[in-house]
Amino acid sequence: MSQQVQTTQRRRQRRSPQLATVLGRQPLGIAFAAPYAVFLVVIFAYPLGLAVWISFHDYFFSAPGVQVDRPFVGLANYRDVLGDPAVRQSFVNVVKFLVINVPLTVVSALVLATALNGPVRGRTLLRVSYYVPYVTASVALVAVWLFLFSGSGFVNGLLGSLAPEPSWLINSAWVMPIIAVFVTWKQLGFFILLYLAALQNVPKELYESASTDGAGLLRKFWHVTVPGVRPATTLVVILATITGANLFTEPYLLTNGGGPNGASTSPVLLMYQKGIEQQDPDVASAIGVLLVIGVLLISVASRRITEARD
Amino acid sequence: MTRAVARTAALYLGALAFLFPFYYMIVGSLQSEPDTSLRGAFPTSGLTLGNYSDINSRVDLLRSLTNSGIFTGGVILGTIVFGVLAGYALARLHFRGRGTLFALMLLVQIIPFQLLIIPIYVMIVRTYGLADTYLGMIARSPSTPRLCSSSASSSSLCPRSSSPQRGWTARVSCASCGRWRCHSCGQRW
Repeated sequence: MSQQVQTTQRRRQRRSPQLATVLGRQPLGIAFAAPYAVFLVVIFAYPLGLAVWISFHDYFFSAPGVQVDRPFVGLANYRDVLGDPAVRQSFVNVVKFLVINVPLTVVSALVLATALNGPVRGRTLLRVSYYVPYVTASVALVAVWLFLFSGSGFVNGLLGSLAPEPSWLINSAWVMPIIAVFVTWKQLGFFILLYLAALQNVPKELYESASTDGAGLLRKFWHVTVPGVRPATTLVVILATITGANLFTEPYLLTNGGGPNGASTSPVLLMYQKGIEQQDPDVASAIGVLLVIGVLLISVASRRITEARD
Repeated sequence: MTRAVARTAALYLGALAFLFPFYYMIVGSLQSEPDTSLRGAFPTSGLTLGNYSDINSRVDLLRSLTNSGIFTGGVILGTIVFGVLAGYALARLHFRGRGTLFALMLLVQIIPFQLLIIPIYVMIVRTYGLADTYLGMIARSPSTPRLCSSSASSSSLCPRSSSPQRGWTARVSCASCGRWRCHSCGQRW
């Protein structure tokens, strides 16, 4: 049967070598992928191209059907953006967020996934408990955290005299760490799931060999588990970085649009404020393009670092 | 034994910490007056279901739930159709443009929706005239292309779990590619 299958495959390939050169070995894939590709081009690629075009022009909104001149201004919008201290502050805020959120996410997700992968009573209940925040709308959870971290809230009640003054979400030093912890808490369930899937591919024989060689729990975790899930770690780092760089909902809702002295303003929040509220879509698009380039660079760098030993 | 007990206890404490905001949300929804203090988290009196009965007077609950249902159904349908088709093609078939499509799919995850919000608004509302319609809402939703990409990424794992041998055997037996794919990949959904 195997030989018959291979013979059929070779006959099909000999039939149209020119077609295979132009369309690939299996041109049916083009038909399967076409609906998604068309959808991407219409809903995504065209607006992206338009957004980049807007960033290089003096663009403003006009009434429908009215023809106005939107001249090409080169890099003027980018110079304005890079010279704006609020924009620079927003990028610094995102870096602060990523420095807290990404390592906390990776470490917490891996440790919890490792613990949940073992024999634990009520394992399904525990997995669901850690996953519930991920499937809940951010808007609903933000309201709860606003109450929890308010000046007279539950957290300050627990801390008593140790509570910071001013309180968490109006304190320029604490607001971004609180947002980082919120996002970590909210998304941890998804990353635990990723690591749980990756842990199934780590051979159990490696743990047995390590135990035979006298390795304890921590050594087995460091020398077997961590290298074994490195591809998942790369994915978690990249996804957490992308999510953090595109932060909008939490600064917008938790800190009412930017926090004390712009301490929680994110680039995406600034894009929304400048593009929609202040009617400067050209400046907003320039911020967006710079953000995308920054995220791409960080993603490539983090991938190189996490896979450096391969 | 001690280690296992400690691990279980730590996991349950963590789960309690994770679920505490939800408990706080439920307690808050049952309070007639909001009490954010420490004592308010564990009320012994003043609980009421009045907030739930007041929902419909503040928000048209039935209409908003219907809208959410239609929107969610549309996004899921589009995601499954587009995502599974593209995912299978990317995972199992070799065709011109495969690498470009995969890169574009990953790019969807990176681009913030707020960068596209103005061009999409102009396109959906002014060019296509789909303002205030379900189709316009589903098409321009930030979740639609991302869910399609995620679905395509995850469904690209689906055909790998079935052996190529099964695929070629089915095709030799004159099953159409679509029928084999529906039976093989679709069953996993």
